[in-house]
Amino acid sequence: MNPPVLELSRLSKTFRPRDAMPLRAVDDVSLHIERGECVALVGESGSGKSTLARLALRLIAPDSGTVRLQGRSLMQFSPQALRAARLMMQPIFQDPAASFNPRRTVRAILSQVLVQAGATSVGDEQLSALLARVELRPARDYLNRYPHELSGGQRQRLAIARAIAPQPAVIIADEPLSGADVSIRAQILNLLVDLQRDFGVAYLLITHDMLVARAFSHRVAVMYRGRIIEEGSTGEVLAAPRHPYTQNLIAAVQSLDPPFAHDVPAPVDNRSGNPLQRGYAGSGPGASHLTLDR
Amino acid sequence: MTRNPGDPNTEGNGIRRISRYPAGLASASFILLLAGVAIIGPVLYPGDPLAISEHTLLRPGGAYWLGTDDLGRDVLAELVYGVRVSLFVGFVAAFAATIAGTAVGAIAGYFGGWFDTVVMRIAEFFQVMPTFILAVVIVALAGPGLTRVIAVIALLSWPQTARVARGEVLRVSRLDFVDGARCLGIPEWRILFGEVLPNAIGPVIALGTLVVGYAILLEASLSFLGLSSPDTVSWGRLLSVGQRFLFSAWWLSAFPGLAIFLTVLAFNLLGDTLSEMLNPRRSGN
Amino acid sequence: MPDKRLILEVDGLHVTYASRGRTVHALQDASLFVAEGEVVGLAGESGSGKSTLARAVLGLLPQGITRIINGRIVIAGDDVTHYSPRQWEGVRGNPVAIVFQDPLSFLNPVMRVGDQIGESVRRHDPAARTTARSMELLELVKLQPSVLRRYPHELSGGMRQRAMLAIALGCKPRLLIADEPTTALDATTQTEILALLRELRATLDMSLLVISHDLGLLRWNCDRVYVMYAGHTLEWGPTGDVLARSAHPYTRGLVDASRLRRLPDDHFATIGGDVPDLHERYRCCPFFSRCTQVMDVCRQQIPPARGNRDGHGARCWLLEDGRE
Repeated sequence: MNPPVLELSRLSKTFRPRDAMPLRAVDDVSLHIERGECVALVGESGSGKSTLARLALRLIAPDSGTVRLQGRSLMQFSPQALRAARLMMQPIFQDPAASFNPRRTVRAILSQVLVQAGATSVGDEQLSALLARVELRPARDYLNRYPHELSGGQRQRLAIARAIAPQPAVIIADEPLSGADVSIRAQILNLLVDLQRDFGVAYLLITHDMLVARAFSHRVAVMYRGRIIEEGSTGEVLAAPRHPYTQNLIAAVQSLDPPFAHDVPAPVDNRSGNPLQRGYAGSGPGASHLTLDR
Repeated sequence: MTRNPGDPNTEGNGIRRISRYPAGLASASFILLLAGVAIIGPVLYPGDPLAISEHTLLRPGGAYWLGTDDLGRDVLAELVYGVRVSLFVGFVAAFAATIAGTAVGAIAGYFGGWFDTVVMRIAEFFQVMPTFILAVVIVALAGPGLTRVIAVIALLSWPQTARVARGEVLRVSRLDFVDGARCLGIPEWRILFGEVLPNAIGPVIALGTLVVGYAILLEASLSFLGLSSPDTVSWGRLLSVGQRFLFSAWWLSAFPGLAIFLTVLAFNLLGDTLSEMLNPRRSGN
Repeated sequence: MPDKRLILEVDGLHVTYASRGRTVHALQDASLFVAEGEVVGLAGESGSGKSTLARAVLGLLPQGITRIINGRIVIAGDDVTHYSPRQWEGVRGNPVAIVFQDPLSFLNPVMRVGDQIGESVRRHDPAARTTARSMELLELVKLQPSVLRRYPHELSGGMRQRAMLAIALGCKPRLLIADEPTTALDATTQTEILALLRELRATLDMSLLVISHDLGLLRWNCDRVYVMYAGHTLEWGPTGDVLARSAHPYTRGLVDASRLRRLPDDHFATIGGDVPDLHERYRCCPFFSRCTQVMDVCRQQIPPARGNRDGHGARCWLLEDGRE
């Protein structure tokens, strides 16, 4: 039996800021992710999900608990061993604007990753291949640009390119879709689907959006005030949520459900299927065709 | 201008950018002019500025364009030589202060801990001190000499640079890409110097320019008080000579004073301009 | 509908602004109207121009940089398109008020909430009994009277949003524009704020223009909706019709992408391509480069508006008689 790709056991972290009350951000949280799986961690702001992500990535040290990557506990690693192990676990951050060094070009950013992953020299062909994977084509249009010169969707693709470049076993994505337009969001998710299919990479997808969790994850864990209050396969949790907080989150999603009738492509021709019937020439969006008091 | 990715000074077609700030452009030109005078002035206008002649207290005009002082020394020659001293002291002191301050501030901001606390206390100490008086006292005790003056100015200026560097490093190190670098296994020191510092350096450079102006002013003040070395031709010393003849030979005070004023003004304006140009909040917007 | 009066009418608005030496066409052909008592939604992604439109309707476009090239804005019968700042002061608050997405940047951090509400009340009714009225407003938005003495940073996100609402309502507006009213809020708070807006509309006999990229939000709250893209109004009509039986391929794509509809190959339905380039002035359909049903004519000419008697219409060549 293969060990889970990522196993978080009883992690706890309390912040003690100088002039305020101690904040128990993560309280005895356990979570595991199997190979090739996508686990969604759903919670709102303040739930502790971002702290959990940072604990998993070993960017901050927990007060108690362990993190196991591919079966090996990271807690006892020496700094050098930890640095090598890190490449197996890559982040995608929420804010694409802060995700990149603003003074480095796309080429420099991706080259740095590949060098860290062991490449002795990095040629443009390798970079082009990497960019092609995230559908940033043609590569020469992007290599010399700076992150701030890219659109939001392009930056998020770049973030994904950087995350898969070292071929990690698991990608921890902290709200990778928030702030993205709806069409971009679907595109990015498609990309993540492809990468999982091609590389078998596992995802820990952190989101506040139950719709995304429903669409994309195998399992879902709901986090509230530092604890995981519900966990299970996505289908089960959504069909029969036990905790009222979960029910609340699900209700918000249902606002978009049918009766949207688009599972059947809408007919386009001007005959009976046309939702607008025969043209009524004056009906523009403005009010000029209406006879109203002004 | 070749573009060096990562070098903030060549990014974004610098010449076109600086031309959006006419004050900055004017200051930069003026400073370049001064630098030119410092380097080749003595060649173009030879003559020992310290040479005593019998043409004492001549008005400006005629053979001596800016007049002479009470010992018959050529004011223009003294000004031309004085540029070297002012610029030398200004740049070296500012450079030392900036390097020292940046190093200390960056380490304090990035690693925190006891080092940060100690550095901050020292910086605060210098913040509340009346720096000019301190400068006078130190130079008076240590004795005159250009190197001493430079050292004193650097000593008094580094805390300010350290504070700015620390603040910027703190801000930048909170950005996600720093964590991204950590997740690649890059060691902390390389992150500090390779990722954080290049993004934090903008305001520090702008401050450095202001420090040059401040250093020039401080040096002029010290030599005005006679605390600089007597055989150095310095604008401040000219002022102190001119003081005795303030109302009779106005040119002995006016021209050096004007020179100091314009130079410090130029550096201040340049510093302001750089501060705006290099403001990280504006990058890419 | 023919008996109702129009609070707001926007007709073919074209707004540009200067950015780095180039012209950006933030709005090219934006039209909509809001009648008394209606709740109208404005849907669009980034670059659609919906925020520009909101600001244009309140005269909040930055003076030297933006220009209104064409079209008009009519508020309660007055053509305000080229109003001076002075004249705008008479429009803002009453009859049109606005609440923004981020209450924290909208509220004055060094003034107590009560004082800010009072300021709004006094401005539009100098003779009002400010404290009493402020307390009334707080009650309307379901906040405790103790909030009067608080500072914005002491309140939660949802409370700040309500406070901002109270300030806007202090002006007794006939039309309230809510620009992304829930984007900055948690899911639970979102539902509360929306319920509040619906209640307010009923009790105060006020019209609402809700601007959002969230189609689910618009679906549950709006009678009619407009869909914008690259500064153009592409589709309009009763919400159910527009979202469930969309006429325009963009709307259809938007709805599918919003729902994360799964395609047979396990991918999600999406709209290909990237956000529109607003430096372009479109003399054809702005969506042509991303449309799966694009035809030659789409690249060449602006599609005419077509609609039915229910007020559901769109600008799309596919709707034109005889086109395939």
